Amino acid sequence: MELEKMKKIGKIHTIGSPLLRSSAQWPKKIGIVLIWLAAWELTDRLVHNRIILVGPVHLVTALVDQVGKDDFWAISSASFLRIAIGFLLSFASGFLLAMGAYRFALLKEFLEPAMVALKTVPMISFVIMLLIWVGNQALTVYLSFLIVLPIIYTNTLAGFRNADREMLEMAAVYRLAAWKRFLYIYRPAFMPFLMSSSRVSLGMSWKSGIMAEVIGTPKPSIGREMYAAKSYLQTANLFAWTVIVIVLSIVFEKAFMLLLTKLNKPLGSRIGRGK
Amino acid sequence: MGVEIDGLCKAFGGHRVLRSLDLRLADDGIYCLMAPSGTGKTTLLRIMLGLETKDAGTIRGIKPGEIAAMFQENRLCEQLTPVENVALVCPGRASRAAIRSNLELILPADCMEQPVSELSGGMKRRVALARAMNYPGKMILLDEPFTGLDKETKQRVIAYILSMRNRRIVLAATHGEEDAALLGGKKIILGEG
Repeated sequence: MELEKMKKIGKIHTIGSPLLRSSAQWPKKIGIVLIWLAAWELTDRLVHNRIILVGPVHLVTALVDQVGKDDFWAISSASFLRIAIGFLLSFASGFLLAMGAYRFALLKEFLEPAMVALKTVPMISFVIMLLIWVGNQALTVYLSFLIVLPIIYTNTLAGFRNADREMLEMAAVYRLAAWKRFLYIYRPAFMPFLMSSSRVSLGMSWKSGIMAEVIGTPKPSIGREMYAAKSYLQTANLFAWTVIVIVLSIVFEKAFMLLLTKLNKPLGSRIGRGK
Repeated sequence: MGVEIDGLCKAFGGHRVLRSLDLRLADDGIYCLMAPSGTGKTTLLRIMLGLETKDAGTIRGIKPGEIAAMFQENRLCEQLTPVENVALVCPGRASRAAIRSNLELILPADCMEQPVSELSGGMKRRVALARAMNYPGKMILLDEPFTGLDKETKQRVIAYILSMRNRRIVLAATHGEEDAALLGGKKIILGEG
C-alpha cells in the first residue's frame, strides 16, 4: 500500500515511467548513431574516392579547416542573416495579412489567388524570375519570403478561424478590450497553428535559401562556397558546408521556437493590479 | 424603471420559440425563469445579451454591455487562474488581492493560483459565477447557475449571489423549484402568459 502511495505522488519511478524510459533510450540512440557512422566510414574506405564520397573522419577534417579560415564567420553570418531576414519578414507579413483577412472577408478573397499561386508555382520559376527582378544579392531574402509567406498566412488564418465561438460571445457580452480578446481568446487558438507552421517553414526557408545562394552565388555566402566546392570537385568541403548549414538552421529554429514558446505562455500576470 | 420587454418574438426557421413575450422586471428584483428545456429560456437571455436578434418586440431599460452573464457553459479562459478570469472582465486594472478575497467566499484558497483547466467542474462553475457577479453591470443573467453543485455548496453560492448583487436585477434560468425557493426569487414560467 505504501509503495502504491509513493508511486502515486511520484516519489518512485517504475521501469515504465517516462523519466526512466527517456534516460534508458540514450545509450540505444547513441549506439544507433555510432553504427551508422561506422557504416559510412567503412563505405568511404571501400570506395576510396574523395570525389564520390567523404567519410566522417575526412568530413571533420574539412570542417575544422573551414572553421579556421578568416572569412568563415563572415560567410556564415551573411547567409544566416539573409535567410533569417527573409523568414522574419514573411513571418510578420503572413501573420498580419492573416489577421487582416480574418477581419475583412474582401481582403481574404483578394489574397486567395496570390496565395494559391505562391503555393503552386515551382520554386525554380521563382528563382529565375527573382534573378531577373532583384538580382543575385537579394535573391535569398526574396525567395525565403515567397516560400514561407503562404505557409504562415494559411495556417495563421486557420488558427484565427479556430477561435472558440462561445468565448468570443463571452468577450462581446463583457465588452472585453481588443487587446484582451487578442491575448486571451485568439492567441490560444492560433498559437498551435503558428508554431507547427513555423517549424515547417523554418526548414523550408533554409532549404530554399541555400538553393537560391547556390544558383545566385551572392558574395559572401555559403551557397557560393558550395558552388565552388562542386566546381572544383571538393566533396569534403561540400559536406562540411552542409553540416554548417544544418547547425545554423538548428540554432535558428531552436531560438525562434523558444521565442514562440514564450509567447504561448498564459500571460495572466498582465491582467489586474498587484499580486 | 426596471426592464420592460414587450411583444418579443423569435423563430428559428419555422419553429417559433418566443411568441409575443411580455415581461416586467423591477429594479432590485430577483427572478427565476422556469420552463422545460427547449421553451426559449436561453433564447430570451441571448436576445437580452445582444447575441441573438429578435424578430419583433422591444426591450427597454437595459442594453447589451450593461448585463453580466453566467452562461450555461462556463466559458472561462482555461489557461488563466480563477483570479485572472475574474479580473479579465473587470474594467481598468482591478485589484487582484480584492478579487482573491472575494473568490475565497466560494472557492478554496489553495486553488487561486491554479489554471482553471485543473479545477473540478463545480469549481469552474463558481469561477464563472464570480466573474458575472464582479462585473459592474446593471443586471445579472444566470443560466442554470447551480449545475454540478452539491447542496452545501449551493447554499454558499446562493448566499454569495445575494450578498454580491447590490440591488441589481437578477434573472436566473433554472429547472429546480428548490433552487428558486433558496434564491427567494419571483418565478416566471415561460409560456404561461
